[in-house]
Amino acid sequence: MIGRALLAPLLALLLALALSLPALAAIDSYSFDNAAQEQLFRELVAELRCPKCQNNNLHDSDAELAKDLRDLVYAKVREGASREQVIAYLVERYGPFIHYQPPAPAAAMIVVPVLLFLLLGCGWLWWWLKRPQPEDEQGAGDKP
Amino acid sequence: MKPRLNLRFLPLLLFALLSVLLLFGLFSDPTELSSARIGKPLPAFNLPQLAADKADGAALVDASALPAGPLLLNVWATWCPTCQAEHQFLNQLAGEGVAIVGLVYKDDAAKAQGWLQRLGNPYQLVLHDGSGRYGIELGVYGAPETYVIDAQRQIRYRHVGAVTAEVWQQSLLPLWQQLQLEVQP
Repeated sequence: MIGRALLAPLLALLLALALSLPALAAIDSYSFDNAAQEQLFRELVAELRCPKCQNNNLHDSDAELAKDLRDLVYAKVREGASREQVIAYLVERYGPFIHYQPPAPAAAMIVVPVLLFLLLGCGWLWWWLKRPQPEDEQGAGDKP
Repeated sequence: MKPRLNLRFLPLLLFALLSVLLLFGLFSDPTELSSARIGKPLPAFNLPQLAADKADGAALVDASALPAGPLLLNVWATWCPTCQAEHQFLNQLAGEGVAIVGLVYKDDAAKAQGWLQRLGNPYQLVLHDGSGRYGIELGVYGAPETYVIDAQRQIRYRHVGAVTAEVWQQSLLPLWQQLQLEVQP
């Protein structure tokens, strides 16, 4: 029973440790001319996806490719490239997938009418099934 | 009597539709990305040829060094076990007259040389991209990758993973034959 009581805090501790590990993979010693550049770099490596390990962003990923891409983003930022220029450069090579928040979700907007249609359809179906059955109905099997 | 909409099979129909959708999802590999470079020209390069002696002294070559006509651009490295798995089949393809150009990706020139001496060299030209910088230009995200390049130096297809006899028969050979026809109309 004591073991049981200890289990929850132990698991919580393990979870906390596991979650803090990516944070330890700190930004390598990149130095910047000004705070704006550093801010831009941090934003970019947080919102660009590593194409190799797709659930990590460039900042968190340990993949070799992610390091190369971090270096590339760093070089571009130091050269004075804008946020849009860096993203466009990588999208041109790796596709829109590389960006966690693709800038034009126009195609995804189809979800809204589809969901609306499904909701209305469900409502209608429910109403249709629950409506009082006409007396002269022959097909209804559960009526005597 | 007014016609009645028979809803008895509606759940079954919805289930069937959902099943088809999920079935497609089951066989699609989310890690396999389609290349953003399809239909685009092969990015310009100026890379050292993998030389017998040393990498530094090797002459830089550009696209003019590529063999004429359609070719396969195979991205490989000695640290990549899958590359070893596909190598024998690449040797076989080269024996059948398929022009293959190798791109040594993020690897050491000497190791790559040793590999070719040990396993055979299917490549008409081997380029060395030690830093992986040209790989980024191509949109490479892992080795092996194989690009089909047409005679006009356009990227027509990318295969991620080993080129096996099955992959060749099913996806690469039809395109390859088409590209041969484009060259000799």
